[in-house]
Amino acid sequence: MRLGFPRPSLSTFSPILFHANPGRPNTCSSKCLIQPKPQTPLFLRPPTHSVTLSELRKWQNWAKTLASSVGSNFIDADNSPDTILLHRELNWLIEDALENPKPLLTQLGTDCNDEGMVMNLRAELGDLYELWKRRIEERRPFQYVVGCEHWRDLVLSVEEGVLIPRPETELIVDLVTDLVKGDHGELREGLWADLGTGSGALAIGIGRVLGTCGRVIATDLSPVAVAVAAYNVQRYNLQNKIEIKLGSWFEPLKDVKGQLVGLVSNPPYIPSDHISGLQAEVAKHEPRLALDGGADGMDDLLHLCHGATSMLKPGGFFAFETNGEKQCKSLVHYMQNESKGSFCDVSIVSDFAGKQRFVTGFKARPFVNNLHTSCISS
Amino acid sequence: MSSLLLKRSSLLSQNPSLRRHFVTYLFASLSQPQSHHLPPSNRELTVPGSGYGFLGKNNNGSSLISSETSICLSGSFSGLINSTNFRFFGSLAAVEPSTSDGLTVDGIIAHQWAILDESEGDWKSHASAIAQSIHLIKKRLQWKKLIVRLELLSLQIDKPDLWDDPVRAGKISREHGSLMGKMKEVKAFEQELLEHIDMIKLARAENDADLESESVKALFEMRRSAKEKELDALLAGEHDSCSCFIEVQAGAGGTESMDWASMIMKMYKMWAQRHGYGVTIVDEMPGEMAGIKRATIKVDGEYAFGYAKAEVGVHRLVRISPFDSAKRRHTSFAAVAVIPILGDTSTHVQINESDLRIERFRAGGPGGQHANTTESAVRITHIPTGITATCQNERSQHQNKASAMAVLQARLDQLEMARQAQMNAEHTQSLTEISWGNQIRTYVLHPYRMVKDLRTNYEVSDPDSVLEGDIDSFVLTYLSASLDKDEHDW
Repeated sequence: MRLGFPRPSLSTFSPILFHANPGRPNTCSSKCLIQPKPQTPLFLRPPTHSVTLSELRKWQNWAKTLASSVGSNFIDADNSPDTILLHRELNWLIEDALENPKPLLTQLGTDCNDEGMVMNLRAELGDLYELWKRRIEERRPFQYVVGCEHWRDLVLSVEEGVLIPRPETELIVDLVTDLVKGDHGELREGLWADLGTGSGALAIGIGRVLGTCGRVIATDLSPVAVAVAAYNVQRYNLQNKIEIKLGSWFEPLKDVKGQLVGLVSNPPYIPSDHISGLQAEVAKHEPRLALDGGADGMDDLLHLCHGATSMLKPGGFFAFETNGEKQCKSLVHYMQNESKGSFCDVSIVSDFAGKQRFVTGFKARPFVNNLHTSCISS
Repeated sequence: MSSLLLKRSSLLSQNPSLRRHFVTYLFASLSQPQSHHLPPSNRELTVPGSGYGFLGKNNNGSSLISSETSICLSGSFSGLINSTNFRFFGSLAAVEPSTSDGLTVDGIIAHQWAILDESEGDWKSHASAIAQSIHLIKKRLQWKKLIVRLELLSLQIDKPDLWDDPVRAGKISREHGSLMGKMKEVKAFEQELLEHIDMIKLARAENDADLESESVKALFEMRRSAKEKELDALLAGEHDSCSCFIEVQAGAGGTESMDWASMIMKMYKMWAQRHGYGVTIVDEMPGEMAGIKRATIKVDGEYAFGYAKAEVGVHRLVRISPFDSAKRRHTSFAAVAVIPILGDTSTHVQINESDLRIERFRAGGPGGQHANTTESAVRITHIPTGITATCQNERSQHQNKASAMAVLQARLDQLEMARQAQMNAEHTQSLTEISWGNQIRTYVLHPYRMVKDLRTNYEVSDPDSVLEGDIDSFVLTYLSASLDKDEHDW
């Protein structure tokens, strides 16, 4: 991933404006044998660049104007950020890029005497111009710009080649938390799996609610994702609890067949021919590998569903994210018919926008097999 | 005890000038009994916290009129109860403290000794100033109610079954401890004053000049700290020390009103930053063209609520609207609400998860992997009350939800406080003041320039500095006015 020209100013850190080919999904090439080195998020870089407050204000005003020029054009085009949101993002960029962002973010900073004050930056001022320009003009996702995504109470490193975890997906951690703190306490100490982990979001979220014996194995086909997930796991000091493995879905889990107490996944679920019509931030910048779920978007969901029957322990829990009502219903239908008797307590859970988003349930215990029809209808 | 209290109030009623001053001087830094000798124009100069320098210069000599022995309220106690053996017993045996020759704090006030400039070093002047402060502090603490409340709490604390309900017991003993602390502090201050007076008299009798000047110096120090205590007493309310949310809502009138709402919000942000409070924007609904429809900020720090509660109400702006091409004069309104964030979690209203409806706010389209947005606003509705809270300024949905929950919790707590206040009449007054709908202040930028508080009639002619967050004088005027107004009610 280090394709940029090394800059002496950033010494140990790779350039923040590395030029990953945005259109290129991270398919495996011969290069993948070398473990990719994850990017350091902007907010964790050392504040080694100095610039005066007035120069910084000039940049801030320029960036605001650029964001204002957007108006609501984007929104009309493909449901993407408007000026208000871009202004908010600009403030977050300032938060991440400055050692002391206060003078730029508070109302008191209008004192003219301070204009010569030296501010410490975590990137060169020139880079900030470039970063914001690419945000607006190329529609590069804000999370890639700052190299991180705030997700739940976590700050996860993300970069091109890794899916930016979505707010909807946060709910899976809530579902698991309710479960292990409620009637299913025994699941706290078992082995969980997060398939297609991406940045490691679900694995880390769940790893933090499990008990001392609870473990998570997270897999991903993309070496970049594996590297980024491992980096995030380290940042939260969960390397003893979470293991990241490179490989497709259940492949890296062959030796724990039938031992999982929990299985979660946010697999690619966008129908292939929808990809090109997605919001520019997604279609042009995020890895297709993490989005494209085949002709009807169900390829990977069905694969997971199928695998879950053999990988989960009886009584084990699963939660899958889907594209919405249609996929939820067809997944439930599949469980009721194709894998009859394998699951019970199957339900559809809506996200906060009221969209049917998740399918959850349990691997049936042998003795409830006869009751599956009543279970499944719930 | 009651007879002593009676004497004290009768003393006040006998002294109309004293009484008038408590009403006249909203800042009431010290209500100088002598100040009525001044021409009225001078009175207008009284500024909060400015001390009493100018008064002293005009009033020397008038202290000669009073005689120490002419009023001796608790003469019968003299000798029996002196400074050292005065104690608070569990049942609040309130015995008026006095000097060895029977001089009490009220006695000092009744003497009307001239309050001179601090530098004059006259002990009677110091004593008089301190006594005035004590009087004011007691009034601000609602002394009589405090005593009644303390007795009530003491009775409950003495009950053997108190700890059957640990939550309630904790609450009672905390309140008891806090009120007791306040009362003891004032009592000790009173005691200290009388001890120093005793020492001065003793020193005079013995011709000990060193001792005398030492004691006068001690009185001088007391006089200074009395000013601080007066201010502290303004913020003695149960929740005054809490952090708070400040909410601003634009009135009808479109862009001009929304611009006004954002000016008001900016005023509070700047005020809070000046005071070193932490300011976080929780919720902000921008207007289409300019300004805000509404916004909520969290103000973090000690006594944020105590001060900010003085801002509750409707704020009115009169100016030539920059949004009106015809340059006409417009009047706009913005409503301000202030909600305390209770620090003590045991007093929080319990919220059932099942009573909540949590919604993604401003969500459109299919969501999930389809969209990549940094917008993760959440609205939480408490179904039984219909109260809602929104947050969209955090960087994750989880944090937006947590912030919105905090706002919701504070709103429900406030609702509960209002409900309890209705049952508990003594709190009603302070809480009716924390409500919407009443116009409290007018800001005129055209045709003349002025900001006037309609509750206190306090006004300044520099709206710019007020809108840049310099609202302390408005806040303090209001707080002292609301606490100092009822002469008979303390």
